[in-house]
Amino acid sequence: MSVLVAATSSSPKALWYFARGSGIVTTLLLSAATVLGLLSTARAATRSWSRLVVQEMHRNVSLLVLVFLALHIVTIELDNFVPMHWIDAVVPFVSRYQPFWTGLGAIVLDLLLAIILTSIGRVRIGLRTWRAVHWLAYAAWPIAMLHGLGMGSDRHERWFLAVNALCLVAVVGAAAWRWARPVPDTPAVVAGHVVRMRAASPLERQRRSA
Amino acid sequence: MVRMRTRSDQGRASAGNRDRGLDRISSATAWTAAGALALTGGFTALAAKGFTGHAGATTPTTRSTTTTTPPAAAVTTPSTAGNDDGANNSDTPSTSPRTTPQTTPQTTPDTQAPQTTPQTSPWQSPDTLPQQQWQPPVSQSGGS
Repeated sequence: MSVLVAATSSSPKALWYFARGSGIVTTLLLSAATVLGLLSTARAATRSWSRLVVQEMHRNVSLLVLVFLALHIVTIELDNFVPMHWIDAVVPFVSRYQPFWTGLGAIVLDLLLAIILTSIGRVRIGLRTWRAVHWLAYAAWPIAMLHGLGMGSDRHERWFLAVNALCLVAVVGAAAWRWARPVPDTPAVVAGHVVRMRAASPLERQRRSA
Repeated sequence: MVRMRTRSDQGRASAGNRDRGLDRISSATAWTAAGALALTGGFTALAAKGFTGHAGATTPTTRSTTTTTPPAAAVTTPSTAGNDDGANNSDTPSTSPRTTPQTTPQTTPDTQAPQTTPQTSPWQSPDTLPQQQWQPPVSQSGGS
């Protein structure tokens, strides 16, 4: 925050530039979180990156997305270049400034907040509800991309398009790999309890009763 | 006996794996956060080089709070005319009497548009109007 204040005092446009930079980084982080989530559902793991590491990194990167999204919104509000109010960041399509594209950004924030809040209260709401809400993450990513490509001030710059193309390739590639890969029948730990994904085989039942 | 030793060995190995995994998570998270901050700085610099498109007097509210109250009708305001292009915007506001209100431009609202006009942005709220009373230029132009 002190960096923001110092940058603002040095140049009046610093907040505006920072808002644009943080928006692009938010897109990158959201893409990384989506890729990690896809890898996590496919139970991907290597020797150095176990499933635990993949899952926890998915969670941590998702929290980083919220941090940078908050920076993006706060700097835009503080900058006053575009006539936006705080409510415009939460309620979709009520902004006077480019209501459609701004509304897409508000939808992304709402979806991410819903995902994070339901993940925190996953034990209370149950796995099925949590999973249904968590599917919204797949909707948040393309909406965020559209928001950036539709109203980003740098949308005509080559580097901006290259960053978005990189995100697109990463997420689409991870999704294709995920759907092409069969999920192994392994127990999953959900909310502190070991849950069998399918019913135990007759052989295993015999072994348990013996 | 042999079975118990195997189990304890497995437990120790899994605990070691878990500890290594947790270390990896914390270091990877720290590197991700640091990388994201560095990327933000880089993209901020790229954005500054690319499309400047911003008013020199971006924060009239903050500046008006820092200015001292003038004794007469002359009010210390930041000069906005001709200060559109970036680095030459001085932080020292020029004193000019606020007698003639600035007219709002009647252009279409676009962030790229005010690049050439001396009045920096059609979305910039005029100094003469408070923030709450300001209306977008489209609605001001009548629309009838």
